[in-house]
Amino acid sequence: MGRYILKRLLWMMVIVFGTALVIFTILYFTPGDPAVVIAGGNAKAEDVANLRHLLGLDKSYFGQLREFMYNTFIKFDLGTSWVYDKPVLHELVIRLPRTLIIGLSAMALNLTLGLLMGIFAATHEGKWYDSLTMGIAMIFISCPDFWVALIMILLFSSQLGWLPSYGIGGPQYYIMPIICSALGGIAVNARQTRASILGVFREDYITTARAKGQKEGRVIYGHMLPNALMPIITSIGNGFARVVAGSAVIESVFSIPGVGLYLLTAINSRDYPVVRACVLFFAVFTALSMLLVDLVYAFVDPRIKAQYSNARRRMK
Amino acid sequence: MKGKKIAALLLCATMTASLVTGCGSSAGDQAVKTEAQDAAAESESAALADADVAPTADTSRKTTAESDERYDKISIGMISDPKDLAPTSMNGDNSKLFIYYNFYEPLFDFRNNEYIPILAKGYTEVDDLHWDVEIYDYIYDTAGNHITADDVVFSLNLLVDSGNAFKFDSFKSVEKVDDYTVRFTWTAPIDSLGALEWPWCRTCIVSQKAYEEGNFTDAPVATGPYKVSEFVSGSRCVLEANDDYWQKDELRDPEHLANVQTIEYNIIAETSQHVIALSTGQIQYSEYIPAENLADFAEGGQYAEGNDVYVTQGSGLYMLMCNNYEGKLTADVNLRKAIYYALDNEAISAATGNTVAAKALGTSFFSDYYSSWEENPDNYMASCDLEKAKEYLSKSGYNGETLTLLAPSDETIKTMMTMIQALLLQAGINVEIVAEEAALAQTDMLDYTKWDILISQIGGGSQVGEWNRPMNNTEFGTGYNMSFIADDTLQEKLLNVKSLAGHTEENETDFVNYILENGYYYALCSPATNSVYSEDFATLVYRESEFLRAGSCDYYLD
Amino acid sequence: MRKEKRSSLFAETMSRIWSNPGAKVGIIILVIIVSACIFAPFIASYGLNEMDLKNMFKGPSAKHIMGTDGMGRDLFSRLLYGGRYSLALGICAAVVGSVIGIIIGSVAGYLGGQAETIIMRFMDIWSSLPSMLLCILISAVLGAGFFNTVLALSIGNVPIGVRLIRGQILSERSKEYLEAAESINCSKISIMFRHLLPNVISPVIVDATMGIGMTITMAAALSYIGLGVQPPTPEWGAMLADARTHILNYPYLIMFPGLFIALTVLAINLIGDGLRDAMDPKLRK
Repeated sequence: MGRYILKRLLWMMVIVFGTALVIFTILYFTPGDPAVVIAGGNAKAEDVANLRHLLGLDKSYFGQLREFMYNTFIKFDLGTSWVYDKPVLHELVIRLPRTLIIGLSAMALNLTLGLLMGIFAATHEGKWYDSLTMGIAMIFISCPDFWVALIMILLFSSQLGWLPSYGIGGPQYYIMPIICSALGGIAVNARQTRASILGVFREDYITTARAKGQKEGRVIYGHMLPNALMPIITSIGNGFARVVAGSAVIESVFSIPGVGLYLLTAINSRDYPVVRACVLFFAVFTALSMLLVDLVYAFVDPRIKAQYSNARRRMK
Repeated sequence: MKGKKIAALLLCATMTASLVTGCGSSAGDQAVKTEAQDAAAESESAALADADVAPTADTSRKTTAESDERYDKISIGMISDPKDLAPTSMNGDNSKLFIYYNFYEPLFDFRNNEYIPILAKGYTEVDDLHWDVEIYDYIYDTAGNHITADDVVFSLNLLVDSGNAFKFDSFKSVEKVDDYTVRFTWTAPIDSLGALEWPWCRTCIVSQKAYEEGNFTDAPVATGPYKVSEFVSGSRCVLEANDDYWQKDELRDPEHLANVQTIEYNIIAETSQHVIALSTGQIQYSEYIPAENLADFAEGGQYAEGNDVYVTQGSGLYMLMCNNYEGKLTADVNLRKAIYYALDNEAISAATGNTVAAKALGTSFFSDYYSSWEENPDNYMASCDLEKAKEYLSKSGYNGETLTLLAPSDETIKTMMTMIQALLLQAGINVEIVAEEAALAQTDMLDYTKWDILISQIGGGSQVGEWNRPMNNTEFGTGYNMSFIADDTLQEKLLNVKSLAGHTEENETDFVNYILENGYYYALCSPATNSVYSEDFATLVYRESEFLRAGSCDYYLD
Repeated sequence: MRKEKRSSLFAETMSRIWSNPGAKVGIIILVIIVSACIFAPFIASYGLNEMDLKNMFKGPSAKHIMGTDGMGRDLFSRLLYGGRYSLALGICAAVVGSVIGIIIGSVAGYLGGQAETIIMRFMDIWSSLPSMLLCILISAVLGAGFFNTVLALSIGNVPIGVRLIRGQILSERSKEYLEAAESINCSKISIMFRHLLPNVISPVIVDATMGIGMTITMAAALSYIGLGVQPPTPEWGAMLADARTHILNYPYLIMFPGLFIALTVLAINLIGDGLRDAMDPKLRK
């Protein structure tokens, strides 16, 4: 097991390194000269040239790449924003909690609701409220989240005046963003739960349990659910990875200064240190959540667990 | 099963119904009906009739003007994020111009084309290239640091070294003469209006000690009437009045007051959210209100209680220009004039809702704009004349080619571009719209192959200053100006009107006529500032006539 | 002989989809929307960019059933024309993404060994960049416009397709018919595309179908943050984005485009769901 984790961590480093290379290259070839943008509409040609030199943009591709890689992986320095005039890490640390609050609460919400809806639908398979539940889930995933956000603002902020429509502050500021970010996930989880429960329905051991005369409730919660919930772990992992990355649009609708908005403004203003750092951060975050999923799998699923221990035995 | 079916059937029914009612004769694909606004819009503008009048204080009420008390707190809606508060990044984001002058102070303010001493007592011209500036000897920042000539030299060099010292062409160096006097050395005699605006009026003076010890990006320490108490990048900036402001009360500049205890700037990206925030009382001032919502805040509107509307024309200008690079279709003056005559500024401005149509080549906001230009019979901005457009078009070598219209992708400009495309099509000119992300557009407009027609938003401290950016051929280091014109006569005339001696109505008119004759530039419209303010404001004070100085406004205290 | 079998399989799948009520509803909605968009010139009573500044911001009425926008253009007509772009965007991006995914995935899955490892690690890097982020980056790099947007949207779908196909191929690789094909000296390429692919493609088809809906929403989000098609193209997301300033006074301007998007995506998802059930051998009774 330890070897496995070590191997995965090593691969992760390779992936992060590769991501750094890819993102650097994409940005290098992105049209739109950062110096022109940062200097603004009033700068003269000399000012721009001067700025380009200060930012190191006049160096060759390999020169810039070497510097970036050296700073990132040897000095562990993510650099200073060209626009914000402060270290990227500093700003990331401040902004991350806001994104995480929304993302994690949304995940908790869509997991709870998704599971409940999925279980409800599966246990009533074929009845009209099965279709209704899944139909509702389907509608959730079909509405663009920012559109729902706009409608909620219209309703709860403008018409009813219950919730603040922008910015950060007390818990009430987070209600609408959380609901909007949760919608898609509810549907995904509900569908996943329902499908895997139905899959388990047809397995032999359930038939056996039923044949033994166990109560239906005990069959569902004692035998079916633990097995049916396996695939949910993957969807949690995916959801976890999306928490940070998918935040840009909702954060921009609600003017929430989170990581997503940080990246979005950085792309628009060609603030490359910020873009690179955010992307690397996303990559690490995604890779870690995937690793976590696999580890949880290994612990939960006896078959996979057996594979590892077998492998170890073989190695000995 | 049934539930889903019923819901789906309902949806289908609505869809089908809409399809059926939608059937009808299909009219022409592209057409513009561009008469003036209809009656409803007129009544709306009637409600806004006094919207362009600045509020005047009601003398019967108690205001901060005649009292030592301060108004408690004012929240202001901003549309963009200042990102950081570093003294060297003033030209980074427009929002900084609102926020910075509350805590940073420059040597001089630039007001009505004059330098008003703030930290400086005044200046003496030693000779053409050397000017001395003397500062007060009792300036202290909010941390108690004494500001001396060393700090002034430090602050200027800090800006120069940061690479953000734009428009410093006249500036060569600065050195200390004595504790409270610095000597500026210029690269050439100062002969143009506003040449010192950036080194003198847009350089934040800070204490070297405070700067080296503190963290100015989040918590700057300076001499202004306010100090920063909280700054959350991307969300808000809260300022508290500086009780120990250094200047004596009798000498204090009227734009450097602190009439309100707390100023909070809220960053709200969506304009519609500004409306909500104002209507729920979360903010007390915003100048980003969509035109259609102004009536809601004016008398009789749904949010009129406690709020008022003030609409002004900003100094900015959306300018349209054609690419004059040799070989370009638009290098043909007849085609350019055909384009200009086909455009209808009133219609374009009406479609955007938040602009004022330009009537001549400039912005009437400036004191060196002369309305006599509007009367010129050759002024193609005054009206839309399709006959003339077609006449010029037939004289040109244009044969239905598609011209590329490039501009940064922003809501107002996109609307303009859509209108322009439709208007030009009426005259028989085909246009393809390329709305690029601002960063890309700024780079692509330097490449003559990327566009035939360009819209650029320009600004400046005066009419001639505004003309400078698109017309001066030294701006881009290529020998061409923004519209790829390399015309020595134009350059000569521009430098002449920009100089102190040549800045006369006669010269400016001659310059405008020269541009009209050659069909070089076209002024579309100026952005309007649609402000809504709480009725607790007794007066509104703006820096450079554009940026609200919340601390210097008067407030009703009763 | 094989052809006959294939067509009967197709017919069987179709009939199974049709017997799924959800999918049936989806198909009906989609057919209505698609045909309305295709026949837009006959249905729409106004031109695509026909402006009328005298009638701007007119609410829904008999003359303009969904009202007019800030330039006096008829919203309903624009939505019908706009559907062409949104649907085309969604379909093109899903197809392009899946096709690239299929090619890379089948190459990886069939070749195996070092080549597979390298390809899959590259996919790891690829998918460690979240699709929305990639989309934003690519559209910033390429600029606005239809084909650039298609490319940007499809790029995020590639690794998903690759993984799916490879997983399927891995489980098929050991099966007998492949050995048979190899033993009669079929070329690798022929084995891959003529024998292997038809047997593993169904999950990808399902995925691509669901992907269309996702892509339409994503395209709308892209337009919303200012990176989409060029004005005055009436793409649904762009129309939504244009309308957001008017949300308070003219909410119908955001309601209708949003409804069109939601309805279309819902229909596609319902069909995709039915397709999945129909193609899943485990659920075949």
